[in-house]
Amino acid sequence: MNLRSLQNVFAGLKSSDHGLQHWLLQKVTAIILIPTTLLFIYFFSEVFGKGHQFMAGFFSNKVIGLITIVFIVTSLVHLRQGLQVIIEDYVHNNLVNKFLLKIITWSTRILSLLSILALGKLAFIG
Amino acid sequence: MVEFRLPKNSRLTVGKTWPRPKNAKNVRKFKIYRWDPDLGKNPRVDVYFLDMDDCGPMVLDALIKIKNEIDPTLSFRRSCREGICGSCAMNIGGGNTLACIFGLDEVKGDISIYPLPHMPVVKDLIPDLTNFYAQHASIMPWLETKTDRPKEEWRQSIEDRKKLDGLYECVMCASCSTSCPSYWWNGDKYLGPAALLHAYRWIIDSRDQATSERLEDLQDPFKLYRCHTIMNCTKTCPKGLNPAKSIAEIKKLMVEKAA
Repeated sequence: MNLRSLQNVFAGLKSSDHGLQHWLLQKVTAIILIPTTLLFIYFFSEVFGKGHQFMAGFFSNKVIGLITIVFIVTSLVHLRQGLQVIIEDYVHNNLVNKFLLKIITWSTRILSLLSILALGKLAFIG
Repeated sequence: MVEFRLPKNSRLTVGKTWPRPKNAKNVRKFKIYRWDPDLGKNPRVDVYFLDMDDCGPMVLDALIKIKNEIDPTLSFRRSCREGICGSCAMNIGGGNTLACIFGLDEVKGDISIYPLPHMPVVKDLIPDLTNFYAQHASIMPWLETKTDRPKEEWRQSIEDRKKLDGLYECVMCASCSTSCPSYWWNGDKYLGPAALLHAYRWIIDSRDQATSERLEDLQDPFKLYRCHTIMNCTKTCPKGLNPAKSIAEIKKLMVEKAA
């Protein structure tokens, strides 16, 4: 290892031209999660132990349903962003890294979709 | 994958315990990391005892006394002995700092001295800073201008000059970068707090005309955004600087540029 060769490595290390988007999305979702988490805890305490019928009626309220969907989707996006950083930090094997990133991306997408469908069913079908 | 244990040939062994000074009343114990590439053995921790009534007040004074009077094979970098050159950065009592401006009285009990963490070791307390310097070079640590050179000097207002305070004082000792866990795990791709502090120093220099290029060059998930605001850099900086704030300012400028 000599300084000249490393300088060439860093001089040639082009910017990947992304990074801001990921960082910004993590910050924005974190801010959205502050009020929505508190509201979700409140909603949960309202419906806890009151039966399926009550819960269906409660979540059929458009505002409550929308806040709950925003909370769930934002949590999952935030989770994905956070896990991506952890994997990039600690898993340096390229294949394992890509495999784990695919798993977290698709599992959070599927979980988001299932949560929206479940909430929709609860609100509209009962 | 990140390794949680040191490789076999880097694991510490018990070293030599040197004799205590005779007739000394105020004695302190020093545990110092030793590794000589020529011996082909694992690193060890040697134990030295010094008479504090016959030793200067700083850790560097103690190291020089050990080298001069006890063990001339002990290797470490030093030059200015007043916190200007940044040569004598090492891990003392569990924290990275400059041995020349770190008082012996700032450590309670035995004094442990190791090289800067997570860096290849050249010998004893001397880390290999090749990667660190190459990263510094990559941020173009010089004034980039596009307009014609003025007849006299590149002028700067007093207010603009003040923006460089808290940045230009960095002596490139590498204490901050080597205290950063993000730098430990991804030091090959993440530039680290020292290089980023210098990058910010040139980004906000009113005379520099390459601000946009400098920001574009840092637009990368590893070069800049591997900083997770752990703040070890700011906590450990022996010059009292705040690299974490500089990194945060660069991130803010990135958002402003994108907007």
